Amino acid sequence: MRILLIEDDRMIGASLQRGLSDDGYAVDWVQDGVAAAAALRDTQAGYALALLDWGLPKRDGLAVLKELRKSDSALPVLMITARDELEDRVTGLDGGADDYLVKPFELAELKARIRSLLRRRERRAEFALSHGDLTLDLIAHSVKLRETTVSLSAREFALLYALLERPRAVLSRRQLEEQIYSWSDAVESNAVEFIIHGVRKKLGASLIENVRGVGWRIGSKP
Amino acid sequence: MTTLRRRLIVPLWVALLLVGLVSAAFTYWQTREETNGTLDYQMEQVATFLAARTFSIPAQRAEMPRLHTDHDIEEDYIVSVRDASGQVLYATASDVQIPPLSGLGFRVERLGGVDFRVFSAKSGTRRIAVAQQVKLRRETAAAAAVAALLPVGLLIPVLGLVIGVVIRRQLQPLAETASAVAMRPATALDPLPVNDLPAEVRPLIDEINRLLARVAVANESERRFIADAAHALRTPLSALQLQADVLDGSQDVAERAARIQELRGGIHRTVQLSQHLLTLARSESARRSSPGSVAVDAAIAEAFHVYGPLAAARNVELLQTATSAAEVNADPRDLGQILGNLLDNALRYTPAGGRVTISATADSGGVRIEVADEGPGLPESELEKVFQRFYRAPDDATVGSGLGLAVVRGYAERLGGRAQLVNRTDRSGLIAQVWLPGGDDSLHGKVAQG
Repeated sequence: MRILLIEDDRMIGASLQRGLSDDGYAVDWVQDGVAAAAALRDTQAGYALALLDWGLPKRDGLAVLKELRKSDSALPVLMITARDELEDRVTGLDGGADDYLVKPFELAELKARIRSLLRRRERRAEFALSHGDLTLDLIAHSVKLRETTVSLSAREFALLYALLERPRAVLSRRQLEEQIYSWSDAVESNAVEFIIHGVRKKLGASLIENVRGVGWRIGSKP
Repeated sequence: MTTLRRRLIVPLWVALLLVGLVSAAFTYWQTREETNGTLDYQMEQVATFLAARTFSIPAQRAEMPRLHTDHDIEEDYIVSVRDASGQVLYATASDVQIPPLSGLGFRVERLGGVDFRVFSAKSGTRRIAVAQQVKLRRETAAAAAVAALLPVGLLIPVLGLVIGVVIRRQLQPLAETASAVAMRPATALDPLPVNDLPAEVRPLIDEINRLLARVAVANESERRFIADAAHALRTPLSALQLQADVLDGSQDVAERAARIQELRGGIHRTVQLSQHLLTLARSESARRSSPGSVAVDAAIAEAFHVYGPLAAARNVELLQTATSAAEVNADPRDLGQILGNLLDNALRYTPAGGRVTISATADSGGVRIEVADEGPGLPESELEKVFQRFYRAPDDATVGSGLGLAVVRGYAERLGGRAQLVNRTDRSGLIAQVWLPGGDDSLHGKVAQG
């Protein structure tokens, strides 16, 4: 799951990137409005959501948001800002934001709002993905196989989530990397295979199928 | 506290009473004199009337005419008419008889134990005497005098009442203003109404309104400062919150250590911001700094001492290019704040291997301090904006509170000086210029040198 973080304050940005990466999100972080607009124009990036600070250098966050909506993008946008006046919230939401969070906030709340936005995007009623006896709890970030909780790393969880989200699709190495790693992560060439190996070891080899030359998809129900 | 109304009414009423009493006394005395004159005239008339009558002997009761008074002569007067031999030709029938009298004109005689005013006249050989009771005369005069006093007696209370009403009415706008002030909440700083106020009171209310306006400006600036400060604190506090939140996310020892390090950085930033806020609040406060002269060179040396290690750590050369023996009228701490903030800024924007220079030169009765850096400089449109508190130039990537230059200007203006930024013309970079008025000593020194 790839998130675009647009935040000019270095400390806040760094902590958000760390905190969201802990949950397996791939977080790309830009620090000004111009870079944000450029990243949002890249439709290949596959962002699931954008976190947008209002006060940005070079270009206002609201202007960036309006341009995004003008281009007909339905990307969920969560505004995070120090502006807490009612009119600011109204302006932000009317400007195209899907949610609005006022600084300072707790990471747990931000994560809950991100999950809520993602669930809505995917038109799911629950915060869980199931495949046979396998259940991914998106809130607790836990995986259950026949009532047994299996411990996965954040990246293993992200990979499994990406595959389960589109059960019949075959995802390429690049597509999987995009869902797992942000720009700032150094990705080794066999990293995806390494993670798939870990998942198979914990949940059974048949869970993930290799489609030679194309990529991977979710396998038969375990 | 005596009211203005009482201060006006009491002297007016006292004056009115005194004038009333004096005029009453005068009227009483004058009316009595006039009445006495009239009564005397009537006695003369009676005597004249008697002189013209003929009497036969023995004395017969005269047919007395009515005179100008409402009283019968016999009721008011005792008369006697005697011939040359002293024989009574005519006398009123009464218990008291007037004895033969020598001399003419008015006098007081005691007849039958009662005081009479007696008028004696001579007509041919006859002697005529007319007498009237002094008591009766006094009563008549007093009655006339009291009647004459009536208008004065009525006038004084009416005038007193009018004075009271007029004063109350004229002071009414003042009373209304007072109650308007009394009912005002502490937060209401809109001007007091000035309609209907007498011209004498207008300046006072105008001054109060001007004071209210000044208080409103001060309040507004304080309110803005608090709002700005609260807003400015949100960012570092958000960072602190998140930095603390992500501590739980990692079990890896090295990763945890890195996150704790970031949290420390966040705490440091928050502490610095709060210190800057305090400094700024102090620089903008109305308090005058304690007077005293401070040598500019000594202050620069002190600032070098403080910022030397930072400059060395960043590999920036710190250099003083011009010195001045001048002194400025300032609290050394205030001047230290100015120099410290300027050096901090200059070091922040100057790249490693660069140079920050500071100079102090005597200039138009004061001292001009210039701090030049080798940073990127600023667009002309930003040079003034960066003095606004919390303002950060759009492309500024450094970590700062946005308060340094606001503090510099706040202190400079409090010391009677100025602060501005200009771009360098010889290369990229900024020159921060602060001019401060010279201390008394340096002015004297200048005169002596000149």
